[in-house]
Amino acid sequence: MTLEEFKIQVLPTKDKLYRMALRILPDAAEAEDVVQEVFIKIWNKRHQLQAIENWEAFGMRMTRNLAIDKSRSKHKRNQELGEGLDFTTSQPNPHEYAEARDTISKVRQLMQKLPEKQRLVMELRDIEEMAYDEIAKTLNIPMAQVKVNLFRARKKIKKLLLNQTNYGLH
Amino acid sequence: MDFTKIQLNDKDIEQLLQRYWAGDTSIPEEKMLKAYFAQEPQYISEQFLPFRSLFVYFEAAATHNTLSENFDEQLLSQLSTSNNGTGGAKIRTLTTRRGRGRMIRWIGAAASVLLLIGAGLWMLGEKPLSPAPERLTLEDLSPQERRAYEQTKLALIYVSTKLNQGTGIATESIIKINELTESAD
Repeated sequence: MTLEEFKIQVLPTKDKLYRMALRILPDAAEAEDVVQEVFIKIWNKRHQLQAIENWEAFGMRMTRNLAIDKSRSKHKRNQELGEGLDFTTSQPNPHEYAEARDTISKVRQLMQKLPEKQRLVMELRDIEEMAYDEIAKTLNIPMAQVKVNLFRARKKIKKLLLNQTNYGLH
Repeated sequence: MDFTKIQLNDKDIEQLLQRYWAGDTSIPEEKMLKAYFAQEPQYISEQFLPFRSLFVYFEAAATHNTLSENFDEQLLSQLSTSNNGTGGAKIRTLTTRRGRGRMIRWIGAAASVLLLIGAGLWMLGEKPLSPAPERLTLEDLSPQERRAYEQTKLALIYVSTKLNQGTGIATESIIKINELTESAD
């Protein structure tokens, strides 16, 4: 792999990897370090890794494992999504964003109610737009489990959203 | 293609949503749903409004939390230095911190192994000579034994201060790194 190929094939996955790290490590700088370390490891092993077809799934899995290692080594409790993901930073359209922030934080709370595997599968699919086989590789679970978890997660979220609306009306 | 300009009727959305809940939608179909719900609420049919926030959330979560702007530059400069030379790129921020932590742990492990071996040897040596007294005090020890005791104690104190220093150095360098990155910003 040349540096150019790296830039085209591997580097564009950086923000997805970063968010993956943030799901496990609450500290932005630490999460950034994890992504950097993953990229450097990939680069240093580029000659052995020529057979890799899907850099995104490969990088996501490495990122997840490394972030879990780091959080364990520091005896940190795994943080829930949302504590790590920050929605307060400034945006291209701040007005629109301020309006949406409330709704977003509500959904985020609902997502937190899901069991971890369901939540992760749903996030990787609906936020990161990953294919089922990519999710399976990332989380190291069979594809059938990806589908089952996604189905259950969406079903639960649907129910929670409808409940919320019904309470809102009364 | 700008999906927000596509006029999907309620029936299309209803079907898409049903397939979405069942886990049967493709990624392009899910993108259509996101685009539909990205519209202002007044353009969304009331029956679908409860689900708007979910799709807005997906979009927001995907565009937020991105790496700092100079990430590429820093990374690529590290990679390119290893590209023409030999050996791999070094992980700058991490190895310094983790290396020290690891070393301290190794010293600790080595010290405890030494202590165990020492204690074991001492007990083995002691056994055949005399049955263990009820309670061993310093006075019960021979001058050689007492000297060995003092030496071991000193060695342990020495190791423990070194360990503390190691942590101090590590913390110090982390503080320095933080200061440097802050002033660089």
